[in-house]
Amino acid sequence: MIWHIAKKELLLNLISARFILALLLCLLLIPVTMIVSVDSFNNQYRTYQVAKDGAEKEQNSWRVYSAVRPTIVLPPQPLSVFCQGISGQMGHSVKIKLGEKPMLGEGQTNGRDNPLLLSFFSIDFVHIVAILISLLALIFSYDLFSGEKENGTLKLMLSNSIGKSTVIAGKITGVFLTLIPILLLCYLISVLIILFTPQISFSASEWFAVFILFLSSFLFMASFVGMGILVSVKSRSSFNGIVISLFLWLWFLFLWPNIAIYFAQSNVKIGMLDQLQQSMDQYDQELYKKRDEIAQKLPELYQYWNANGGDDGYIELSGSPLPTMDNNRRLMELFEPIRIEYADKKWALQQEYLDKLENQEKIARYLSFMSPSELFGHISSMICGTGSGSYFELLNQTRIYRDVLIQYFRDNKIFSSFIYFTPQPERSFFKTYDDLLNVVTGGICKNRQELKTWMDAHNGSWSVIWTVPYPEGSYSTYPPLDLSALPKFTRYKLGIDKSLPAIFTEAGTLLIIFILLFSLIYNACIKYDVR
Amino acid sequence: MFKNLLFKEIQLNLKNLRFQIAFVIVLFVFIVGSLFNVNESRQKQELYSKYQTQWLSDIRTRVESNASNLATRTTSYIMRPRNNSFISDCKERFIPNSILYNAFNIFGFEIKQTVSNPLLNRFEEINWSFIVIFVISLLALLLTFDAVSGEREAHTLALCFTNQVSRAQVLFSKWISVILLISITLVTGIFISLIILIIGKAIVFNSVVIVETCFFLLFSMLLTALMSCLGLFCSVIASTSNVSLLYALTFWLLFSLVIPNTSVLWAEKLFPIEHADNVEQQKSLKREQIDKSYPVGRWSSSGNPFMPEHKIRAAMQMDFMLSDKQINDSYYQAMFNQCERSRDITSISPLSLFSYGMETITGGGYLRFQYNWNALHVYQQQFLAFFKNFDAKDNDSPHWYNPYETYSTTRKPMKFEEMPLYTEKIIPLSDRIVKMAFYSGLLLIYIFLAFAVTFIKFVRSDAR
Repeated sequence: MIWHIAKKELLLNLISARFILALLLCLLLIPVTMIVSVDSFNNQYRTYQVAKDGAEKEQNSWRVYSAVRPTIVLPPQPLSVFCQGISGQMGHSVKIKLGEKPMLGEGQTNGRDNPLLLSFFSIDFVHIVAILISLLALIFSYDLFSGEKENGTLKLMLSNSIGKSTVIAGKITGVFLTLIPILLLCYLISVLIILFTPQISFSASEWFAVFILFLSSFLFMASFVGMGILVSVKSRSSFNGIVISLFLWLWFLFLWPNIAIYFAQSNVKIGMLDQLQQSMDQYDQELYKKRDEIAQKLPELYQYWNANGGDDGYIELSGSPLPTMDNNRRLMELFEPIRIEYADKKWALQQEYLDKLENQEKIARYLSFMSPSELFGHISSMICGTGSGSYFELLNQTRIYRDVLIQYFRDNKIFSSFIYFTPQPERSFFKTYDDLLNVVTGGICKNRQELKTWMDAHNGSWSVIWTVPYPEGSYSTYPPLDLSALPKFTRYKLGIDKSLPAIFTEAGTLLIIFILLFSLIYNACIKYDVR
Repeated sequence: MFKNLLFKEIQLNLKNLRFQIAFVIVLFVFIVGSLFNVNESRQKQELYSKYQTQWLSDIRTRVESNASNLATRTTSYIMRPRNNSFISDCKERFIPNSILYNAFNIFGFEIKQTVSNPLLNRFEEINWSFIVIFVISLLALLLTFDAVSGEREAHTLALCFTNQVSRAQVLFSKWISVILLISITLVTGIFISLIILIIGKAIVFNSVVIVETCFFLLFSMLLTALMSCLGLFCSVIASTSNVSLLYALTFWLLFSLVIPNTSVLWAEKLFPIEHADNVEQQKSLKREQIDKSYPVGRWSSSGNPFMPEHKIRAAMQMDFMLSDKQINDSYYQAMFNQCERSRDITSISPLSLFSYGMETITGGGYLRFQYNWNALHVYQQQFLAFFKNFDAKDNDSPHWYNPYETYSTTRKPMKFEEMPLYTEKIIPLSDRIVKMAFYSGLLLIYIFLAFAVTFIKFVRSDAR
């Protein structure tokens, strides 16, 4: 009998205008959203490839260990075409430095070449499904009882020998039977679009994630069906029912998420990222002082012949005489460990900032438990691995890798060896700077005093007397380092299985909402006055 | 007679549950939004002023140590928080907010993270324009979707026509009543919101606020008129109020989600621009060519500013900068064009149109960014002229302009008070009004079209 009533509901719905409109809306919204998402993914992938190639090219140009600062480029998540999560807002490239721990990723974050386009409203599949399915769930259920009551057919139905609970069960089944094909259609369209996109290929676990995503959207839909039916039972007329339903929809989908974030933001204050940078710069000032203190004790430190320098302690020397080389080696040996120490000091500040970010997010998330759509959004970002949890896990892995790298440097005594800053073999160093001058000027200037006199007479320029070639003196002629023993970054992929417990907790909350609503509905139906 | 009808409509709506709920919700959102806004704007202002003090003192130390130190240093100008963001935030969180420049060039723009938390996914902020776009527009549809179809079902429409009233009067009374009611709701909400903002010291109540509020109200009423007219249209063409509700919701989804969501698609498919990495490649190719064309020894340097190599390098660095600039400028222009073309297309949706209109009212968002982008170019020219002038007075300077190094220009300190500083420009009201007139003109055309179609349909419709 339940089946009978359900079938009647389904057939009635199928011929109604609302079903056709619902299908049309799906056909309009889902493809557009998916095409935009897929396009953005392709772009992200392109950026990833370019960044990765750049990182590899860079790696092949390292001739000294002070340049060895690997860049880790995190690939975009294919599942982000379903749920963007925070992946569009976070950087995906991490440079491993000695002087600073990686805090948040860097680089172009969104898959768009034109940052101005970010001002356009753009939402992902999960959001569209949330907005659409919740609306449809309410539209198909708001008049479930009140509508038939107004027509008088409810009385007629109950005058047969069917129990009220049978009618309730049948009607609810009918609503679900109508909505499931629509939901399926949404997923079918998106899956088809993905199948026909050559750049995206899902692995088995990713297809499984899509399946879990479907199940959770079903739960989400059920909670809104429950809401709609409850409204329909409680409201005096179907007209009141739809009005209340729509305001509920507006509240849960558009207003509550914003309010929750506002609450979180007014409870936890975070500073500007630039201010964090400013306080970290103070540590850098201290560092410079320490470096100067060490450098003062090391004579002839800056008698460079050919030198290059850069970010995070990169220094590359060649051609300089032995005292300069050796003192630079001493400087590195003493100073690099201090820099690493200061990175930990800076990390305390960074950690504080990150904690605040996470706390805000946590509060917002707890508050969002009060809205099924937010819960659903959060579950999907976990399923797709685009939430903050998996992002932080990845960054944590990069920090661990940094420790491994530093340990490798220490174990191999790289900081105290020449290869840290010069590719030139030790045996080809000149004994003194004067020796060097004597050779390269072909004997024109035998020492620094003579060079100075010559330069004063020639307007400061001395490349003219640099007549004898000194190929060992140019660092760029040396081959790149052999990095086969260097520890590589291996990314432990966070499969869906790792986040399943968290997903179950939140999906459980959705289920509880659903059960609660249905017990309320059942109670209300038993007492329902059919006249 | 028209008065009677209008009075009846207003009375009916006032008693109606939907209006009552909506009134409460709108007021609630206005109150909550303003409370948070008070909190947030204060926080933003404080943080920004701290940041700015630091920024200015940085500039001061630089310029007072050595003028070239500042001139060759790439600084980023971060846009200040707007104090009328309670009207609309104009998506400023998402668009670039900082411009990189030094005395020789404007290098580009970027999105600097300021106070917002990147972990929080917030797609809209609760401010006046959000309330109008998401709540008021839906309300306008909800109040009108059964105006005709409902009466038809209740058979009061036929009864109404038996009196001596024209159909135009009936339609007009329904339309005007809804616009009036929503305006009352809106004015109440804005009034309460303004009081909260003033008490919370988030704004100073002055003529600018009044003017902007009035413009906002006017714009919102235009949107309300259009949306309610669309609601009437739905109720005229549908046979039952059930169906007309669906039509109305479809319209709303179309305008608030579907069309805005396609803008990126239009931008990328119809008005494509070069990929950023290709542009980078072009730049580095050009740089390589330039690099090869200069003699060996160009990278040598010494304490003597007049060293000939410095001159060579200054010329080379200038070439680097100019070749980059040429490519960059056209790329940025392409970006602006792409963005504007897609905005034009999405203006079909009145809700998108409304949000673009908000930029003209508040002088914020994309418009403000673009305006300041141009203004900063002018400032850079002025600063360069000032710097060159200052440099010319120094006989110890070789006057070789190297945009990245301090060797070849004056090393004398400059007085901080004397140098020109960039202060953010507010778009002049006249410029804004011209643009506003364009947007409201478009809205008026939409309203006219919608009403014309509705009227024709209504006159021909069967009252039974």
